[in-house]
Amino acid sequence: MTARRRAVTTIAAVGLSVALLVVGLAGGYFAAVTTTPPQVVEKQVELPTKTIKIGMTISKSGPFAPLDSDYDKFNKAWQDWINEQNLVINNTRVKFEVTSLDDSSDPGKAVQLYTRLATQDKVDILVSPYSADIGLQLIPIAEQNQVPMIMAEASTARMWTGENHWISTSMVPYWEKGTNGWSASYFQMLESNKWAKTIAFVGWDITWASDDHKSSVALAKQIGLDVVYDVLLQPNFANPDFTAQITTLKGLNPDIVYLSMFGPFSAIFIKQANDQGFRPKEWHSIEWGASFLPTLGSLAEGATSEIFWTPNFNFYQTDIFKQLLNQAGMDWKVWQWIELRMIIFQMIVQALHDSAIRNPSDPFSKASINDALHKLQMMTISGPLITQPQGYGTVGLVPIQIQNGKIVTIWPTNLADARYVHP
Amino acid sequence: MVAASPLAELVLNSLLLGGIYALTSLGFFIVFRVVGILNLAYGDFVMVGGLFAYLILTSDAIPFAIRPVFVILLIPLFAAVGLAFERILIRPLLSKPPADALLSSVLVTLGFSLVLQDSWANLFGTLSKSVTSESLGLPIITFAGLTVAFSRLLALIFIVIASIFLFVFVKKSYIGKAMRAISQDKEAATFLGVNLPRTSMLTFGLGTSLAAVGGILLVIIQSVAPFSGLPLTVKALAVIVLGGTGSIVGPLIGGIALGSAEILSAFYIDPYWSPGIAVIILVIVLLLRPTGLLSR
Repeated sequence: MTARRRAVTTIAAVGLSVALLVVGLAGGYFAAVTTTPPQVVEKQVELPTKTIKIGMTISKSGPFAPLDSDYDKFNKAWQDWINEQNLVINNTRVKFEVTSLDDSSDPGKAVQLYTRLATQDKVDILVSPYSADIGLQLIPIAEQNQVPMIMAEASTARMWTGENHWISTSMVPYWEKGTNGWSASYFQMLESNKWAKTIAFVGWDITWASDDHKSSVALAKQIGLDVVYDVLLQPNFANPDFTAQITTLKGLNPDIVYLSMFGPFSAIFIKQANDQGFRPKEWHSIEWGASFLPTLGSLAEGATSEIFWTPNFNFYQTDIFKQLLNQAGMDWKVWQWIELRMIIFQMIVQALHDSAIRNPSDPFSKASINDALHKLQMMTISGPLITQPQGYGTVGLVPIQIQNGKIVTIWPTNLADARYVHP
Repeated sequence: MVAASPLAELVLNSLLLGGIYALTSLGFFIVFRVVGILNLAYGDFVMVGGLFAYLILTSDAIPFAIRPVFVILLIPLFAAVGLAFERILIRPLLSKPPADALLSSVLVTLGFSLVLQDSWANLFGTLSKSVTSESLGLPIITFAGLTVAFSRLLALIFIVIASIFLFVFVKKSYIGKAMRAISQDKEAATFLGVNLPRTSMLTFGLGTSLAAVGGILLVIIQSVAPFSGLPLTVKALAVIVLGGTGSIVGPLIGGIALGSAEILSAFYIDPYWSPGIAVIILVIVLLLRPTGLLSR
């Protein structure tokens, strides 16, 4: 009896187990295929959103248009990219809105538009337009309205006297006549190579170009070059004619002709010199950009210049920068200073992070952002940037050369991707 | 090889620059004299002519050998554009009293100038355009110790031929005589049977074709950008004021005087003050001869 009962119990237990298993499997199956999944109760963290407004003008027409008229495309590409990153700073979701207005290369219009950006649009950060001459007139707007302004391709000694508290820049004080000078790296290279003996300087008497010009004349003398010609001209944006200067240069026949003017006009100078049968051993232009290469074609071969970034720089967010350029349909060889715009956006993001650490109670106030912009210690696409108390930075230029129609970096040796070709 | 003196080189280049100023001013001049309006879009026609020439001369789609033919075709094409421009935008203004017509023409042509600038900038970009001797396949030549691009010599020869043609055309042809008659006394010319609307339209055609010539030369010798139109118009105005509005020789002399003043003062006095010196010369001429160098 006991054995029988045990057998019945065993059979019942097995049967019950099988039944439970079948029911369980069937239930699970049907639950899986016919019912909605159970609600996963995930606690959504509702972060507040802060939109950082960045305002600037660019020149869609007028003399500066060849140099920055397409920057709005890059701004849009960066804005789209950064907003996809879902940036969270200090438990706040941060979005960016970049406004680009057209100043038509007119300083008067730029002043009106920056006043509007600061007072009506209430932007959090201003970015200066191209170039220093217009930038100088906009600083009072930033100071008066206490809006941080990052000077883009605009810097000159008068800006950084310590009286202006709301402006900053990534660039070195390039008007200085020492290692910070615009062409300091170029002259180091010349000193190292020692091939050139004489140099001639022709420049335009506008803030940025004459700053570079004067700094470079001093640097040339420091390394022992004989400065055989030094002239500053009034800018002529309509139809510049350099016959008189070229005729003088033909008589002097310097090894290097150093041109401190906007790239498109350096190209016209070189073209006119060629038409008059003058070719020095080396042309040096403080800017190429825009139409320099298309205008000159093979005449540009061997010319040297400077830049803040080339694609072989591999410091920080290089790939993102290339991707954004691609999206904007822009070529860094044409829009030479576009790298400064990327650095500005990097500065803004870093300043917001730093502001949140230093001033967590009010990280997005203009004063806090401005304070952070003046204390940056960060990496950019062009290398390390430490902003100085006066507001200027440490990002300098490196010499490049046009070799076989391509732009190559020739100095310093750790960044160079080609040898410097000289007589 | 003995190098030529700087003076020879400066004179050659002064003639070239002055010649371009003169030729581009002539179109502006004849329209002003015959039709009685200030065409402030004139420099923009020069600009568009230069930029079209650039597109043709650098286009891979057009065989290298026939590019010059296409460039020359721009001249009659611009003449046709000038005819249409006059018919559509200018003719309605000419029925107004002369003072009103002049003022209206300033507004209309200035508006058209802005349209041309912005249209070109949006369609083809804002970069300045220029072609080198290399891209034209033309050599740099040396003669008598003077080194110069062959393209510059060709331009100079072209300027001389075009000026002679224009001079003969205005002096000898019926249309030229009609143009001169209208410029001297519009009412008398009409009374004598000169067809005013037709002459006005043809004058615009001729003026605009000269703008194309100026643009072609500028893009070869210097450069042209979408926003260089208005400064070119101002330069043309200066040349006409300098040379005087009395005859067609006035702008020729004015152009060469202005070009030479700019280059020679930059070389012998001070390049920094060269643009100012040109203006000073203009003011002195106006003080001494208020109606220009050649006016009686």
